Amino acid sequence: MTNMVKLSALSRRKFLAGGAAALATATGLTSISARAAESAPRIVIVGGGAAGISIANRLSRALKNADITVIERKETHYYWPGLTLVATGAWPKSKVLDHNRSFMPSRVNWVKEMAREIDPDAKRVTTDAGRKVDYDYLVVANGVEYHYGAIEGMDINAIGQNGLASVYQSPDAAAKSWDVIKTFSQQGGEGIFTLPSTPIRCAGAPLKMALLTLDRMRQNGGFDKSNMHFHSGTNGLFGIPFHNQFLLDEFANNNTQVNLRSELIAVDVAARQATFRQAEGDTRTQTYDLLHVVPPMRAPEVVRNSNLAWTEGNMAAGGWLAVDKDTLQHMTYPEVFGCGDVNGTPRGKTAATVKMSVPIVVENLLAVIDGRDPSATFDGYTSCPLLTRFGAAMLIEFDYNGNLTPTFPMIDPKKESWMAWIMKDQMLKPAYQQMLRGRV
Amino acid sequence: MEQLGLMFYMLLGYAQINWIVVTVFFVGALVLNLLALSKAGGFFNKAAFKMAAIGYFIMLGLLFVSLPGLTGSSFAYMGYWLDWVLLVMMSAGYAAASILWIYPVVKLYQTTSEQRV
Repeated sequence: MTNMVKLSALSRRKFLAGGAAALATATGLTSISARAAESAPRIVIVGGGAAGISIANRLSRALKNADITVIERKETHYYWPGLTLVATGAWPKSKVLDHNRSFMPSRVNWVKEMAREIDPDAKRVTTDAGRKVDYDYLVVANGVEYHYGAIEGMDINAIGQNGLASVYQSPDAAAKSWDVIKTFSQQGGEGIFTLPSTPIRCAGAPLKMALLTLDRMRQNGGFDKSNMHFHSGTNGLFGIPFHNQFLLDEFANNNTQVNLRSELIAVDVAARQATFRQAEGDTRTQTYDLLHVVPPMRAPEVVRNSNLAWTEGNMAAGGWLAVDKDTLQHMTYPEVFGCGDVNGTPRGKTAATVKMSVPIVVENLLAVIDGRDPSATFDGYTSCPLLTRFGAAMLIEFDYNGNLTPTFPMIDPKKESWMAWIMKDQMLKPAYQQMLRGRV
Repeated sequence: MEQLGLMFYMLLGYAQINWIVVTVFFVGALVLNLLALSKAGGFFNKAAFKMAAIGYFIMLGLLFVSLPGLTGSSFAYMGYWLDWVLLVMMSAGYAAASILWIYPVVKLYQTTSEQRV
């Protein structure tokens, strides 16, 4: 007991009485031995997005002597959850842009390069500038790679032209997408929305894009002049049966034909034609006036090409990081943890997942540094504020098993509400920024 | 516990993001109240309180009818009891905050009027 140090204002006694693991996870507070707290491990965090910065903040507070390095070239921070609102004209682009330096803890070494190679056997990360960074512990948090190249003829530079839209690529692309969606919402025509069969970041975004575009069409007069199509590469639209049926009904009521197991494989931007591979293996080509492309996604190349990726199972194809879904510790290398979209876990590539999994990763990493086994477990929490129209949303929170797990029990995840809209439009970004700072 | 922490940090973050508006509001309130204290003398003034209370309810009513529209929504999407609770709470909260401006303004107006008479 005497060798325990308190990393919070709470006494250890209260801490235990309050249910240590749950409380620690919820508040980001934890206790480690004095030896571990005073140690000076070399910790490398690959990726400076939401997960990387948040973990850097928490670790730099917990381990005063640690040598923490964040490898991330980007200096601009994108608030990804806001891109659907940019691409549908509700937010200006500037609202999703921030500076990473505003959130990066001053005590970390920020290497403004990209990781090119990870050698977990040598415990070394090599950057694209040739810099070699050795580590004792590694956190992989470098997000996803948008695999637009898997769609033949797709040109990301053409987003915003010839009816081609894609919210995912960048804030610029989201803003350009609004240009074509706005025109389409006025003029109408053939509208196509897609959803790939790979795991994707924020699986609700393709649905929000379709629903909000339908709302814009009602506002701007294009609704009655349009035929809408939603192509999903999977067997459904959403992982929760109730909401899947809600969406099918919503699209049916809004003159939108849903095509399941229909994957976008090619696009002819100049001719405005999209080709889909159908369930039976045959292909179908459709002309369009608006095509919203959601790219297939996979782990970044540096992970795919390392020994850290899954080599078997349904996560192997995308080269996702092979972590235990409960502890988020690597399956082979105990000094390696994964956080955020790069993880090859069953569900959840959202900022909400990052929010809930960062404290788990930090808790377990500190346990490993302390010479203990990781004990904090992640339940797979993820959240989707499903914007059903401008002014209304459903706040859907669920775990690995698809159980609905609302943070605020009074908010019914099966009902559209103004409150959920307020949360998405005004409150989630402040919460996100606090998460970056290692709070929440 | 978790919910309270989340709510606290959401509100803190909201204030940080809108720090210019928050700062202008509180500096303005401070200046007005100091001015009212120095010119009108004393803090309590029954007549001003009455007027400010009327102002509060007018503000509450205005906010109640306009907040859904101001937030990009509409009354048509408020079919859920929680939405109405939130609307009442937000209207009451913003109206209460507006008292920090309304009360000193009323006091100053009354003082100026009395001086003219």
